[in-house]
Amino acid sequence: MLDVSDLTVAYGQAVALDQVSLTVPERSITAVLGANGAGKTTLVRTISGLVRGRGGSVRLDGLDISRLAPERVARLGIAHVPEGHGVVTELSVEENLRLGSMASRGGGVRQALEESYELFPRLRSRRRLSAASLSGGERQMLAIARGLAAHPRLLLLDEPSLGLAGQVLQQIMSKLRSLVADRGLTVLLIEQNARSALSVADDAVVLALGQVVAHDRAAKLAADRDLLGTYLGF
Amino acid sequence: MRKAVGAVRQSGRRVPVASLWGVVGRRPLARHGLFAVLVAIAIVIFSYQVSSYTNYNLAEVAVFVIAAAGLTLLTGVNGQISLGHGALMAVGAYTTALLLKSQPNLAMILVLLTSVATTAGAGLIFGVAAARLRGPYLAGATLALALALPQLALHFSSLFGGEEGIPITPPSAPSWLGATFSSEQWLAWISVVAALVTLVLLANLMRSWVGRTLKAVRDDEVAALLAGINVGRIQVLAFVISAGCAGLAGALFAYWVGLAAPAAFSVTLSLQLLIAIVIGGLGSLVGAVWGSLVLVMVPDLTGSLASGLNLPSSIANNLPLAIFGLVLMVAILAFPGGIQGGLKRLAGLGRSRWRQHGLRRESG
Amino acid sequence: MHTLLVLIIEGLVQGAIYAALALALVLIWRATKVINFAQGAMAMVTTYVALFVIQLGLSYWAAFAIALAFGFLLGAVVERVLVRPVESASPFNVVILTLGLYLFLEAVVPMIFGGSIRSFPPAFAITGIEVGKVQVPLSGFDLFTFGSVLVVVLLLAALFQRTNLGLRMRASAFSPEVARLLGIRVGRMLTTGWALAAVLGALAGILIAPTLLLQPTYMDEVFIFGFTGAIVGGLDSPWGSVVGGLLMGLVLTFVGYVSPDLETLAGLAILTAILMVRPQGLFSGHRERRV
Repeated sequence: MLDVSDLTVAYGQAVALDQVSLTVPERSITAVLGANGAGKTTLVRTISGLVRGRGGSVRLDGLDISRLAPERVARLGIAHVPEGHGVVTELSVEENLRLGSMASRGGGVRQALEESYELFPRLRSRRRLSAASLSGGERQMLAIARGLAAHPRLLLLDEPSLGLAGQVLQQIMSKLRSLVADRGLTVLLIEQNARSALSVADDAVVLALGQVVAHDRAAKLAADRDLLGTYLGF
Repeated sequence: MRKAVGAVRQSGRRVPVASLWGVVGRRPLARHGLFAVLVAIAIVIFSYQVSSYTNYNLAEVAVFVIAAAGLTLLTGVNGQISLGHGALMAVGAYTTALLLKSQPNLAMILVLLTSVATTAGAGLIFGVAAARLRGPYLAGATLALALALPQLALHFSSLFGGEEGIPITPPSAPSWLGATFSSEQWLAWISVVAALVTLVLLANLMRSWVGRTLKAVRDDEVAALLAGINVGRIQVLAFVISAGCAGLAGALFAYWVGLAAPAAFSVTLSLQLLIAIVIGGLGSLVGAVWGSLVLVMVPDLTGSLASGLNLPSSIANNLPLAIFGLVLMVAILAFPGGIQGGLKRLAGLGRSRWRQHGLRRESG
Repeated sequence: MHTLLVLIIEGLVQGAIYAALALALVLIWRATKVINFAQGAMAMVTTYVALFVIQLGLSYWAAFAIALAFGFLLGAVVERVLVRPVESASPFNVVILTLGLYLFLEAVVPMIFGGSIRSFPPAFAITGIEVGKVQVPLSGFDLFTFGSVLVVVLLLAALFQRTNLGLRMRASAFSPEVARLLGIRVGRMLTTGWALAAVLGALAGILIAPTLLLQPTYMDEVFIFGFTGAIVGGLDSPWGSVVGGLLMGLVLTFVGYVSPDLETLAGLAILTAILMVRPQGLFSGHRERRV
């Protein structure tokens, strides 16, 4: 579904991604792993159009999206849940969710809200509160719910484990799995926490210093102790 | 590799001019001073070649340079915006006027220094009040100052002369310069010297720890606080120095106009100063000079252009300002770093091309 | 007692004008973090357009509508042509741009319309309304001025709070990157913000013109008091700016009654006093760290 080929990104002289190629099959979860500074966040930011690549291409079902503005990319059904401060803290929880549902290509606002609250019941009781008053974990839930409210075909999740308790993270991951099965969602999951990501993903890519050092079935990589030890600090 | 080549070339260059450059080159004060003396000599020669009207303009440019250089320190280097420097110039101008009213024979240097001191005092008061304000809030407060201070002159008209202001006799040239020496040329000399002294002092200040601290506060206030810098005090200091410059400029401005009157210190003057430093290149003293030149030259040129075109008066009177506004917008869009920024970019292009050329030759 | 009533009414009506301008500045500040120093000059232009339409023989209401529409257009064009290109440059550059626009507009208008002072008609009588046999110190035009500002402010509040467009605009202002990721055309939202602000300015310009008389600089003072009102209220708070504008109107009217030449000084005094206590204005929520 998503084909990244020979993607090169540089900030000034510093090369962040060096000829990265990977594919994300439809109806699957692909994890992108790597240490801090490996280029994971740059990869998703380039896919969603926030960063412009210097060379190579990003294709969504064959359509080259690497020159499109982020708002165009979003309208094609790619939802990007950014790392950390992904919610608009000046708006209420419900307003954040409504914003997400506006990009939706089907289903009304009400339905999207209902789905979000079903997914994260805690958000329902806080729906009138300002997003600034949420805890770190709740903000992460809100950001993910908002991404899903757009009914995306491809969900880009950047470090969802940040600030989430292990149990909540597992819940979210199992929800994602069921969305992949039921709704045909495709997920690109960026994680530093390799263990949890490998347990949920179908495929995995390991990035190091801006280059792909491994791209295989997640189960296979999870068994490769050498690789995990070298690049992911196990 | 590139570094090594540069070092060789530099050390090679140092040998032949060792003596003079060795003494002057390493001391900023001496280097800036030497440069200023050269510029002063050039301007003195220039002032003999041109009409007294040009000398009159020259003095105006010098006055603007002084005020703009002071504002550069505050806004460009320290990051505090001021839309009220015209009002501070008014403080200097009125100090001069009142002083001359009571002591007509006081030496000019003393008048100027007193004006600097009183205006720096006013800057201290305002700086303390403004130290907590940031960005647009500071802009608003200083704008209000620019608007309100001239009103004081109207309200206390018995002291400040109201709308008409207080007249000032322009300084007459000393007799040893000859009977034909115009007062315009004399004032131009004084103003240019004052401007050069101001520039040299500010340039050295900016290279000292004060300059570095001012920049540190501008770039990241929190980091500066954590580094143990007393941010509030540094911001007040910037205000005081900057106000001192405005006071000097205001005093010379009063001599130049021959009057201290509220209309001369309108909000427009404050805005002009800010325009000068941004259009010249924010944060650079050379930029303040460019900006002052633009401020004086563009309306002068367009004014004579408009009057030469035989246009109806409603158009001719407003054409200079319209063109000025237009030039301003186009210049900022074309050169976001101001004139000085644009020149630096050009010079940088030239230098890198030269260096590439040099490297190629050496490797070949 | 009667004098007090007169002053309060006059202050609130004046304040409504300042509030409209203050709100315009706040809308632009929230959207693009720019103080539009040409806001007053733009309102001056739209009022000249209105006068032109009236002189063509059209009704006041046609002129009113055309002026507001022209304001919308002018605001959008200014944002697109001038502000957008320097979005990422130093904030001082934008300040200079709007100052350049201000100088340009104030010079071009007299070239087109002539520089002489012109009168501008009010929408309604400016003499006091008679209730029974007593004339109250409130004219139809006063009511219209206050009422139309109130209506426009409420309409804007509804737009921002209740509609999807308003939500998109707020998201674009608060967090442009996140907004873009949600498919919002942020640029278009910012342009809309500037356009709406210019409509507010146009309204203020046309409402104050009968009192101040029309000349190229007639909005300068209104702009400065509006700006002061916005700062008093806090640039991040739309409601604060409305309150700040009304406050400025009241205080200046009272001071002006006591001593006319102290009006501006009093403005400075209030501003300084309030900023001493609240450096972010009265109603700003969070501390501003931008320079």
